[in-house]
Amino acid sequence: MRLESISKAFETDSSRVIALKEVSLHVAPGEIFGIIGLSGAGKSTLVRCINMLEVPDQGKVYVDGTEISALGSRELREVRKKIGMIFQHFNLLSSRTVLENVIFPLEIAKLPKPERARRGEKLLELVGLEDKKDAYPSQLSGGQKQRVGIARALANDPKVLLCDEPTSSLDPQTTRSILRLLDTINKNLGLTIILITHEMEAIRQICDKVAVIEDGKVVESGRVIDVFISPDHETTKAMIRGSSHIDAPDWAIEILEASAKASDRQVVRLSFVGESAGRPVISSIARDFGVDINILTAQIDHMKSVPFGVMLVELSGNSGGIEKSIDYLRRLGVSVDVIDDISDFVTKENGGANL
Amino acid sequence: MFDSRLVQIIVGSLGETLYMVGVSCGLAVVFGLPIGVILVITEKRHILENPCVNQVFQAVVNIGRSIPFVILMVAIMPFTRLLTGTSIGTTAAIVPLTIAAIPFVARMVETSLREVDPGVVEAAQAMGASPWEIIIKVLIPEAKPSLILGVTITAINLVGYSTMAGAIGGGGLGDLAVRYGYQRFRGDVMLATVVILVLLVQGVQVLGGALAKKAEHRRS
Ligand SMILES: Nc1ncnc2c1ncn2[C@@H]1O[C@H](COP(=O)(O)OP(=O)(O)OP(=O)(O)O)[C@@H](O)[C@H]1O
Ligand SMILES: [Mg+2]
Repeated sequence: MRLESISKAFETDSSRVIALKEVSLHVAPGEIFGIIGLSGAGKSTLVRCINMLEVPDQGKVYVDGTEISALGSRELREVRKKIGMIFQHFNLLSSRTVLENVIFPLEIAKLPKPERARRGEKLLELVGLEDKKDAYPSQLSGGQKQRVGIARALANDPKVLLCDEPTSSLDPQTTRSILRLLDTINKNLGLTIILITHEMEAIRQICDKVAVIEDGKVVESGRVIDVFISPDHETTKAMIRGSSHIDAPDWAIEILEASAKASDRQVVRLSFVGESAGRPVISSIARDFGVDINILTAQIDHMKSVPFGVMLVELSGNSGGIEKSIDYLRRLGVSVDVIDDISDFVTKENGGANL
Repeated sequence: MFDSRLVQIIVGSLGETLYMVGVSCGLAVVFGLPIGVILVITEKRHILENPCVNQVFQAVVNIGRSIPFVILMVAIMPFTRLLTGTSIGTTAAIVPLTIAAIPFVARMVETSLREVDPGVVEAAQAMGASPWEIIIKVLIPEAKPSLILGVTITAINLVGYSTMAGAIGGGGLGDLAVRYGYQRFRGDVMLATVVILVLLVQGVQVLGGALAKKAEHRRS
């Protein structure tokens, strides 16, 4: 799937809002592609341009080799049947039962009746709601509604699934289970997924690639791991900091403050990804460079299925040794951030550091 | 209290009223529903946005709504005669009643369909539904409870209008009240008519409310 310099402006009575400025994206088949940005950045507009719910002023959209932006309304409707979409507010038909909602796209695609019911039941099984098929949406929880939304979006065997903030009105636990379901669907059905979100956490959990969008422009994009390890843009850095909160004890913050002044002490943030997380790098620095290492705080997490560790350590020794250790770590593929200004990321009010 | 002849007349009048209201309400829905749908779907950012068509229909509905019923009834007499062959009588009364109710129904439908969550319409569009499918499978079913209440209010209004039509020769309960209750000083007949009208309106309201509730799945 490809977007080529998409632009879109909205005219209101009094003003003109430029929602998208020459946005280009390339999404490979089978990928989970995250699009993250703050409220009003243009995420929804962008995803709506993919299935032409919003017609871009400029630019081209290709899905599966077809230029969607050049189709007539009848052909567009046919293509849309192969692009599933789920929404923040689920958008289920309140007048229909769960099963009737799921088979709605099959009705639109004019599938024979017995076939519809059969497929509907199978889809409900896939999302784990077979016992709710005769309930109405008003009788379901938010997470269950989104599962119905997902089943409905998958009804016509789409190749692409567009998700506009599918977890933004759900609690953290339900969010995780919905993300896990999307991940499973991606693996088992080989579906390409576009995931719009404002939570870095969601990106970290399931996305392969990410694009950061701000004021209608893509400010950064690439593999999730690369973006997490070395974010370029300020917005990205802020969002990453905000998402991986590590509680550092008060004494760690005191050490941070003290070492910021001393020349023989240096606080660094180490990020390990994949195999480098498993190597005994810490002990070899101490041995080879005569540098003492004081671990202030550490956390191991997973980025999709890749282990990802963040560690805040204080190196102390002579300045040459410290420099050599940092070089050595970088050569091993550990990302090292030298932290000189602690005020950047220490929030004193809650005694925690956002790493 | 009443002799059997008078009871017969009262029952006959009730029948005439039900006939006038029933037929005109049905016809008004048949014509008013599509107009209401057009008013909504041609709005800005809706499925068949079309400012021209929208403005024309808005104007027509507004004009229709602003003509008082009594004047409408008299003004369209030639048209009524053309359709029914006469300008007096129960069947003839159906023509002005229907014409008066069409713009009213159109507005009711417009209001009901506007309440449908735009997100649901968008979801249907994203699935590749055509405008016709969205109207038939999304807009109308989602607005059903509200539409039923709209028809109920229309029917109740038509009961009122029908008595006016009756007063100038259309038959029904209004005619009865004027001829017996007013011209022949039969206070008891007048009272009976009023009681029947009150019960009729109550009945329509209760029935409409129950049907709307049955169709409502939003909170159950
Ligand atoms: N129909 C519209 N008419 C006018 N302006 C619009 C319309 N839709 C979106 N906009 C504007 O375009 C900009 C981008 O909106 P968009 O909904 O794409 O943001 P978003 O990133 O999805 O935000 P959120 O996280 O709040 O959903 C905003 O400034 C918004 O006000
Ligand atoms: Mg949005």
